[in-house]
Amino acid sequence: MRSLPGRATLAVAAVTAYVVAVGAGLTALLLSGTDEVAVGVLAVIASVGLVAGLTALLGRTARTVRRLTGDTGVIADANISHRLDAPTSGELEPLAAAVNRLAEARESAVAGAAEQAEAGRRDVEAERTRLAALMAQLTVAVVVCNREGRILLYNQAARSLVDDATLLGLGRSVFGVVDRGLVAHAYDRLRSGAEPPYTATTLHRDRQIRVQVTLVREPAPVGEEPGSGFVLVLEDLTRQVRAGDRRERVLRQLTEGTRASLGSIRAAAESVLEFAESTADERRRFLEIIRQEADVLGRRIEDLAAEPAALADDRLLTEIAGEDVLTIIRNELERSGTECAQQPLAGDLWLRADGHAVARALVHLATRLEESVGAGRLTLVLTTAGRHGQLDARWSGRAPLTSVVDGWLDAPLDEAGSSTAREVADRHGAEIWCGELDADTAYLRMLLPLAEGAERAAAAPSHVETTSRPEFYDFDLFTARPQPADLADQRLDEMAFTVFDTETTGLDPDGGDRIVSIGAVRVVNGRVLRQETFERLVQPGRTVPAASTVFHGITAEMVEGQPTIDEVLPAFARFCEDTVLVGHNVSFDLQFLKMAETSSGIELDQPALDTLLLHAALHPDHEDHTLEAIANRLGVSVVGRHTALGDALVTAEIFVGLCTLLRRRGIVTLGAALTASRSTFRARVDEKLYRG
Amino acid sequence: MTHRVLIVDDEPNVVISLEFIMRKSGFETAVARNGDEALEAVERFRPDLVLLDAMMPRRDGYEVCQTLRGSGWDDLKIVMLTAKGRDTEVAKGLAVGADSYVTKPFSTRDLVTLVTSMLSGDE
Repeated sequence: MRSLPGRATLAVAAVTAYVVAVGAGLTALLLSGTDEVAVGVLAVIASVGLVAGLTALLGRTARTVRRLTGDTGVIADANISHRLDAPTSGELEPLAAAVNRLAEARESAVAGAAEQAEAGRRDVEAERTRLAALMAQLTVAVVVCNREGRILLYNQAARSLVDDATLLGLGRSVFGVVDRGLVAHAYDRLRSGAEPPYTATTLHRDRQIRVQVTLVREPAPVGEEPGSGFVLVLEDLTRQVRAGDRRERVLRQLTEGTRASLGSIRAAAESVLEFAESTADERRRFLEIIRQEADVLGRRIEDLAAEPAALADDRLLTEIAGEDVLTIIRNELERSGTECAQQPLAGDLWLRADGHAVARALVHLATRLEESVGAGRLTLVLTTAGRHGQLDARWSGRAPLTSVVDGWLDAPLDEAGSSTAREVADRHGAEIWCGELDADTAYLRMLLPLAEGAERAAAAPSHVETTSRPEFYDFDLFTARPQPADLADQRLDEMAFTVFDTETTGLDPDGGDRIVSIGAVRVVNGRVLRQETFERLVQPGRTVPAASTVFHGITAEMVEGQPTIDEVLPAFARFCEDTVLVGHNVSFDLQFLKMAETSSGIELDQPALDTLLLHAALHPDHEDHTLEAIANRLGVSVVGRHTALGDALVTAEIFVGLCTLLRRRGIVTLGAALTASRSTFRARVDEKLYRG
Repeated sequence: MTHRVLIVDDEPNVVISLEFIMRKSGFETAVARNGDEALEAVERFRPDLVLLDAMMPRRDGYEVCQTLRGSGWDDLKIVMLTAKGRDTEVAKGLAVGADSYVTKPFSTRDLVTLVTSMLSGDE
C-alpha cells in the first residue's frame, strides 16, 4: 500500500507537466512575435516535462506488472491466501481482479479437499479405534502378519499368551513366537487351495498352542502381484492337553490296576474253592488277599472320584461370571415366555461353565415344570455351595419326583435332538434335581463347577482404554516396500528403532560405575509404540551412591535381588533384535553396555543414532542440546524424566520429530543420518564440547 | 429294644453280606430289592433305619428318599449306599433327605459303627 501515494504523485506530476506544456504552447501562440526566445524556452521545458512524465508512467507500469507477477507466484507456490493489490492503471486492474478471483476459487477448493481429507482421516481413525477395541475384547489371540511374517496387528490376548511379551511387537517377525516351518507349510497348503483355516499345534516354551492360519489378500495396483499376509489365531491348549493327558493316565491306571487286582482276587478265590483239602490257615491267607485287593481297588476309585476334573471333558467350558450366567438364563427364559426374577448375587462368583448350554437346559426344564407342576414365575438364585456354584430356579408350589425330572433330563433339548440336559449336566460334572425348601417353595437345582481362582483373574475382561489407546496395529507394514539389502540405504521412516536409556551409579564406567536400570521403547515406521517397552532394574554388583540416587531415584534396596546386567543384557538384546539403537548422547550408554557385553558374551552390533548429534546437525547454532531443551523446541511433553523408561520415551518422541526435520533437509536414509551425525561429532570434538 | 434296619439294594451279593453283618451286630433286618418294594417294606416293617442303594431299577434311591420324607417319615434314619461318589451326587442325596451318604466300597466295620451311632440317639 505504501506505493499508492507515490504512484498518484507521479501521475499528478505527469499531468501537471502536460498541462504546463500545453499552457506554455498556447501562451507562445498568443504572444507570438513579442518574446520568441522566452516562448521557445517555455516550449522546451514543457516537452521535457511531458517526456519525463510519460517515462515515469511507463516505468511504473512495468514495475506493477513485475509486482503482480511476483505476487501471483506467491499465490501459486507458497501462500494461497495471498491477494494482489488493485493497481490504479486501468488496463491491469481487471487482470489483478481476475487473478484474485481465481485465487479465491482455488483456496476454497483446496480447503474443501483438506476438509474431505480430514473427514476421511477421521473415518479411518474411527475404524481403527473400533478395530482396536474389538481386538482388545477378543479372548482368542489374534496376530495379523504381512507376507514376510512381520506383525501388523496383535491384540491383548496375544500379548498375554506369549511368555515374553517383548517377542511380540509391530514390525517384528512373528517367527519368534510361531514356528516358521509351520507357517510356510500352511501358506503352501492354503495357496494350493486347502480349506482355510489351516490348523496345527506348536509348542511355545512349555505350552501347547493351537495355531489357525488364514491368508489375507491385499488389493494391489494393476499389474502388481497382490500382497498377501496371513492371520494367526492362537489358542493355549495346555490346560486341555494336560487334562487329556491326565484322563489318559487315570484310565490306564484304572484298567491296568484293576486287571492286576482282579487277577489276584480271582486266583485267591479259586485257590480256596478248588483246593478243598487246604487248611483253615491257608484259606484265611487267601481271604486276606481278597480283602486287601478289594481295598486297593476301592482306594483307586476313591482317588479318581476325588479328582472329578480328571474325567470330565471340559473343553467347552469357560470361566464366566455368575452375573453373566444369570443374565443369559434370564434372557433365554424370558424369550421362551417364562416370567422370572433374580436374587442379587452375594459377592464375586465365577463359574466354569458353558453359559448358553446351561441356559438352554434350564429353559427346557422350566417348560416341563410349568406343564407338570404349574411352576409359573421362577426366581433365579446363585450361591456358592462348597466347591460348587448352586444354581436354583425356585417357584411357589411343589417339586416333581426325581424320576420325573430324570425323564426330562433324557429328552432332547430341541427338535434337532442334538443334546439332552443330562449331557449338559455331565459335561459340567453337574447334578440336576428338584426338591423343596419348605412347604411353599420348590426348587430345580443345578450344581456347577466354580472357576479356579487364577483363571478367574485371567478371565476378567480387560477394559479398553479410550483415552490412550494402545497402538496394536500398523497396516502400513502391509504394503511396505521391500527393504534395501544395505541397512544404510533404508529409509528412516520405514525402519524399526529401539530408543533406550540407562541409569547408572555414576558417570565413569572405567572407574567402576555400573548400570542400575535400562528402559527402552520401540519406534516403527515413524511411530512411538508406547506399549512395546522394556524396563528392568539391574543389580549393579556395587553400592548405589546417594549422589546418583538423587538423579534416578533408584536405591540400593530397589536393586537388591534384581538380575545382574549379565542376565538383563540377553533379554535387552532380544528386545532390540533387528532394530537400530537410538539414544540421547548414546555413546555414554553404549560404553556401559560394552562393558557388560564382554562379561555376558552378548554383543549389540547394530548401528546407533544419537538424538543429541542429530539435533546438533540440524541446529549447529544452538548451544543447548539437552533433552529438555530439545523437547521444548519440538513441543514434546516431558513426563517421567530420570527414569530410564521415561527418558527413553521422551527421546523417542524427539527422535520422531527430528526424523521429520531431517527429511526436510534431504536426510532420508539411515546412512545419511549416520554421516550427518559423524560430521557433527567431529565438529563438536574439535570444539571440545562433546562430553563423551 | 432291638432296632430295625431295612436293607434296600438290587445287588444280591452285597445284600447277603449286609444282612449278615447287621444281624450279627444285633439289629433286626428286612430286605427290599427295588424302590417300590422299599416303600411297601417301610410301611410294613416300620424300620428305624434304612440302608438305601441310590441306583436301582424302578424308583431310584433318591426318589424313595424324597417320597418317604414327603409322606411323614421325617424321623426315619436314611443312609444312602451308592457307587456314585461325585460330590455333586453326595450333595443331591443329602438334599433329597438322606441323613448320611456312604460310597461303595465301604468297610463293613465302619458301616456298623455309623449305624450304631445313628441309632444310639434313639435310645
